[in-house]
Amino acid sequence: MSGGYRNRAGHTILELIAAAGILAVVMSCFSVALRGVYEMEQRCVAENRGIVVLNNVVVRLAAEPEWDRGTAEGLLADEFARSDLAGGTRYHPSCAWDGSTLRLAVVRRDGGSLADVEVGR
Amino acid sequence: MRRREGFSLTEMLAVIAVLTVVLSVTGRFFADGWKGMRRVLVRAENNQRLPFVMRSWQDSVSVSSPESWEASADRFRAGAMTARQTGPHLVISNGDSKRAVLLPRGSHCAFTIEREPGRAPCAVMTVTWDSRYSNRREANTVRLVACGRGQ
Repeated sequence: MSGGYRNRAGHTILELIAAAGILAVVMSCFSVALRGVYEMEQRCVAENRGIVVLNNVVVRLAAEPEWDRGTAEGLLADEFARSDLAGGTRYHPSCAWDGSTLRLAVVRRDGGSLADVEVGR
Repeated sequence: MRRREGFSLTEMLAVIAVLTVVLSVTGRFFADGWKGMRRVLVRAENNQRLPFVMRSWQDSVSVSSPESWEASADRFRAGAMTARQTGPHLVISNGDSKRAVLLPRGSHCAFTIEREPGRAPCAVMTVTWDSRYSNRREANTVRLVACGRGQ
């Protein structure tokens, strides 16, 4: 020591541990961000598949000379079962009829709509 | 009092160990992030291509009569219209006109005709391709249904 100034070189273990802790926090934030991107990507792909399923159903309904709610439900269930969305519990098809409009949808497990379309008669 | 500079051997070893762990984890994260970004871009591109393929396929089949449909594994024919995969494109030719639409990367097309009793016949183009998630492979299958006129 000279003139009240402590001559010190290098770092202590405590400082290193603090630095490593900060790095760990930064890396965990990065990991969370990566996870978010992955989930968003999965959701985007699922929405795309849902739209394709509903488009197939609408095209097939349009080709039917006569159809009712039962026909629409059958076609939706058929197209959904043949899509990538089937085979799990994350998504399921839904068909609602309000008297004049048929609402076809692929619904997420939490009840939110992945894709939906309304068909009038 | 003994003046101390730099690290002792024990501190040096601890620093090297900590640095090795931190650098390997950071490197892994960076590699995962890079791969993830590339994967997202490819997926976005594929998802953008699908609607164009779907629209072209359905428009071409919608003006044909189901009686004229013929399908083999790699080709669909409806009268003068023919649809087939040529490399990365779906090529739809009708007389003198020809249209080529980009398919999802690395995809394969197959054509079938579904004639179920009590339901209108439909022409189905099945597009399949693989995508990778880290080290595992995931198969993608998309059914594109088209129906003809006069049904």
